[in-house]
Amino acid sequence: MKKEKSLKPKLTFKRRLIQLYAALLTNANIKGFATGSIFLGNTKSACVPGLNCYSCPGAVGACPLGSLQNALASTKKTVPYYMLGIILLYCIMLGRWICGFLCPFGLIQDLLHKIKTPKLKKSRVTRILSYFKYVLLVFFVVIIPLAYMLKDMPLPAFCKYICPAGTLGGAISLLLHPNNAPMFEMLGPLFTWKFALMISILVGCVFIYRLFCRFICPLGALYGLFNKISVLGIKLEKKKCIDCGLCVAKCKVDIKEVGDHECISCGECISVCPTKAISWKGSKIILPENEIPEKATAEEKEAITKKREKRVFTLRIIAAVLMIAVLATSLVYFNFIYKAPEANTDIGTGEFNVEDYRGKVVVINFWGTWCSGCKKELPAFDRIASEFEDKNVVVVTVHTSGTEGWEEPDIYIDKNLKGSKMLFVRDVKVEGAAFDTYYKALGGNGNYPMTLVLDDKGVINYHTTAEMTYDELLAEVEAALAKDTSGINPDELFEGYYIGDLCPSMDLEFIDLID
Amino acid sequence: MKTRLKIHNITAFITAALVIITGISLAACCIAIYVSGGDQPFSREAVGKYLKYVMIQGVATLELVIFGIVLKFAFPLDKEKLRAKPNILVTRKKLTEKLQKRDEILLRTDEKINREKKYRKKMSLGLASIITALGIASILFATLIDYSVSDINGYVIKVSVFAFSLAFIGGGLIYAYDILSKKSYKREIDALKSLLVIANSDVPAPEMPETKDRKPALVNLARVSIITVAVAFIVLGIFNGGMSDVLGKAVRICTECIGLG
Repeated sequence: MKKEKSLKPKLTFKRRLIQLYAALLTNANIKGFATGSIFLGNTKSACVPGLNCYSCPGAVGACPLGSLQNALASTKKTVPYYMLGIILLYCIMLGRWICGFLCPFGLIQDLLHKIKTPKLKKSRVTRILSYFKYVLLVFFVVIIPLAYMLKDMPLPAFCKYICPAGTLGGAISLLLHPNNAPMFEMLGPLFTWKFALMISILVGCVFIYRLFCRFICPLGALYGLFNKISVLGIKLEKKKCIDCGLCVAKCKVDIKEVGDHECISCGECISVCPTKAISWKGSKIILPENEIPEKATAEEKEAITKKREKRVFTLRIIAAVLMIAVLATSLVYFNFIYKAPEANTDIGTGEFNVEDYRGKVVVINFWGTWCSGCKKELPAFDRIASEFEDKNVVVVTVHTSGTEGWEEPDIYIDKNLKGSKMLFVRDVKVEGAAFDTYYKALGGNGNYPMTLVLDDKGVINYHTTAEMTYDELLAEVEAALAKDTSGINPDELFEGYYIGDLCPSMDLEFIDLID
Repeated sequence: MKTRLKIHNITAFITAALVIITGISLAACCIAIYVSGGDQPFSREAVGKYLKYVMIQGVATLELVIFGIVLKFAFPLDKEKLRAKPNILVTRKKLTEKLQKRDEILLRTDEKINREKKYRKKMSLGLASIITALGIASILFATLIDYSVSDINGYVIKVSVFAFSLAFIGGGLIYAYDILSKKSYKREIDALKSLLVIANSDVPAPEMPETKDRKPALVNLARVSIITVAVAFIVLGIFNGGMSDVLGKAVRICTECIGLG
């Protein structure tokens, strides 16, 4: 009897290659790791299929899970059709094939599992634990964001409290860059919890195969619901199946049957099936002559087989060339061609200008109604504005040019800050720019809120991208008031956004408040 | 081969221990940095002071991982010799011999296995109870001790204790169930018998009844419907501003999402 070649090594190698390719393509902005900043281009309006935090410096697309939570938590209070459509499309086209082949975090888990240690095998307990991700999906991805939306407080609960991909790809990557040293001020109990959780998951992945995918990932839970009917994936032909159970025994995840909601379509069961009942879905679309007729002669069978092999070879070459072309184009575009538009403060046309307030201490706070942290700290700024109204202190809040689908600032101010002594202005955005102009000119790199405290000569005394408490703000305002600026000549200073620089000025429009 | 296996296993256990220690150290380091920092919890000096210890452990772990990889390629294990899995290509005679052997083992050691199972059941239940009790005690301790939320150090300790105690409970339960789960030879024997049916040309394959398969048409209909709905949603979403909302959020660093508050 002719010995059959084992399919396993070839398939595992190909799968690893596709995983690496997908990870590189979804994180093609390698320049971002070198500069410590995230990508700002329009490709981020499209969601990648796997779990890849959009705060990762390399990410060139949006995370589907994060975008879904933000869409559900939006105070726009409309159905998030765009996000639902994208996720539905991924579910029906790819199902959990994404988990097995395209997800960067899945690749990290696979590589960690290769470390040579004793492994915890699957059992009835792990099967029960695998339903926990559905609980997380319902509560953290759907219910909590919706509940907080009713309170006008956006809260992407899974991203905030659980997601290790955000901690690893976003926080760690950004914190490792010297330019982001000010971010260390923002670390606190939340980071401690998330960091400890991330470490636990990564260490656990060494011992438990795909720990995160099997027990925690809500995205996998969602994709798994469509696994049986997805276009791509693994299928089991019941007619050929003899229920020997070798596929289930071989599989490292908690399937009951090949292709069920736990199956990540890695394809490792294909090689162990004695009756060749397991195959890839979708093969008939490309190879209509997949089935060799039973009554065909030996010569006809050979001819069909040769024709099929030739077609497979041609398709492979075309696919490889296309994939290499796409990856090369992406890497060149994102790293060498794309340039974010410069911030030009001369384009402003409003009536507010920080130069008009020389002689007073100015507190500038950049915020947005879509930013829960910003809204949390606004009462502290309001209090400072009231208490220091007669003491040469001006508090001006600069809202983002857009609202990203959230509440308009005038409505929010009318509801929560009516009668406030703060000044409310709006920033300006140039078409094609990722950030608002004044925000960018004052050193903004995507973090909100951002606060600057200027002394009475317009020099930046304090600059932070962390949320501020009343006590912290009070300390900075009092320090600016107490500062002796008699020897400072603003005309001799460099205009910039570092402490000690003269704050740039720009004409900004006041927000029309509701009477 | 046995010596190689021993070396592989020892390497595996040491790597496992170091990975766990490095992981716990990283987490503890993070807590220590936060607790000790005072006004500036995560100052560069504090981070530098503690991280170097973790880096040393990390380097040791990495070296052991690399050693494990080199070991795997330089001194490979012959898995066929180590594993007694049924090979689809064995002859009928070998399959029959294997089956008989398994049946004999089962018959002779049935009593012994039952006795051992009862003993292990008691031991594991005891151990799991202790671990679970420890975990519950830790949670009660964390919640009952009077830490005020403004006391950040206490808050961090409380959260850490809570997290580790959850891990204890979870670990205890998993351990208990794993030990208790029945190791069944039945599935392996059934698999071997099925293979015997295929390998033995004298025994006809079981007859599968002919059924009309309507499933593909329904599945294709479902697919086409869902794809149509998905595309319609995407187009609708683009026109009502959903796409620009996604872009607006994605080009900003979500400090909440990455744990920076």
